[in-house]
Amino acid sequence: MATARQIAANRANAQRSTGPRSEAGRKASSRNARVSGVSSQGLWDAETIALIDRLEALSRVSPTGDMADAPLQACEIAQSEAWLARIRARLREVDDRIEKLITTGDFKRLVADPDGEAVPQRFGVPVAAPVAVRKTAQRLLMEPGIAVVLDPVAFLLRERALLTRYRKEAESARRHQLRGWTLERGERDDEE
Amino acid sequence: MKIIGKKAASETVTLDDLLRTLHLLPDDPAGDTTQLASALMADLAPKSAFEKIIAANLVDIEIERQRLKRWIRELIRDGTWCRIRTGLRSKHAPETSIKLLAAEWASGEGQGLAAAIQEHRISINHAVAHARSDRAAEIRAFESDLRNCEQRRRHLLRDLKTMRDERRPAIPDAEVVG
Repeated sequence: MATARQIAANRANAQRSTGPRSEAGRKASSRNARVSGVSSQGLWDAETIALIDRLEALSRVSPTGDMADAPLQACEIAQSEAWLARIRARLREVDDRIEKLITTGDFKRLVADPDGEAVPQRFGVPVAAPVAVRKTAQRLLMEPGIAVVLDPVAFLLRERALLTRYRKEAESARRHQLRGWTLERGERDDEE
Repeated sequence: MKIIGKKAASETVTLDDLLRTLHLLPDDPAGDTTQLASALMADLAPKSAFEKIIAANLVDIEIERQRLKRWIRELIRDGTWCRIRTGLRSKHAPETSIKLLAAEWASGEGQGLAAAIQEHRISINHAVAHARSDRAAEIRAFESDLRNCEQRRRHLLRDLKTMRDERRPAIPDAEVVG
């Protein structure tokens, strides 16, 4: 149990620190809890929105032609496809970055000549790194005599593994939904 | 300990040539992805909107497979150069010559490299084996992703076949899906 003096000190300290104030600071801290980025608003690009619109229109098609009688499976497929599209978009971003690192740029130059002057600074900590890793690396970098070499490919691979797991789950769900849809339509046609 | 191929004697042989001759790299996945995508789509000829979804996914998988293969190649290639450089240093090759070779290798030429490897009796097979072990985690991850791609492709092709074999849902075509 905190003493009255501690509580007062905490309150006084809280008045001093109000978190990031500048636009850049707020933007940076907003990424602290980011895990995969799949749910971020930025991924709703024009292409994805158009896809969702098309699939929603598709889901409204019913055997009777009644808009209110939208088949549940079609709605679910539309939702799965939209979710999958977001995962794929994020995965494409990560893949592009891995591609850039592995096939071009600093990574290759560093491999070619690790002691050369062409690469004045070792890799910094990538923005995609988890906040705990970033903080540890920053702390170590400030200590004299310690050179931290972080492999950005490893960070990106971790993110890729997470996204591929999401994709696998989403694809599995959609596969079941597509099968359900085909099956139900088949049964309905048989009844008719 | 002569494991270097015959072509190593020629001065115009690059590291890539050596690796290719000795079959130490995965298949070359070079190819135009746009061309590949259009060829695949033409081959699959999707009829309904859902078939188009599956076809688009199959194209994605094919492009991803190409990418993964290319990454594995690049990692092994870079790692091999690292090991060769270490070998040259341990055999007291002049530092200026190593720097020259590094510049050549980075620019994709590497004409003097084969000669240097032969002169200092560096085993390219060992270099590749060490490179694979240095980057084992990444290569394993990529190879696992490649296997996943195969599995996903099998699933999708089966779904496509089922969809075509069974009665198709009476839904209109969507313009573009994927």
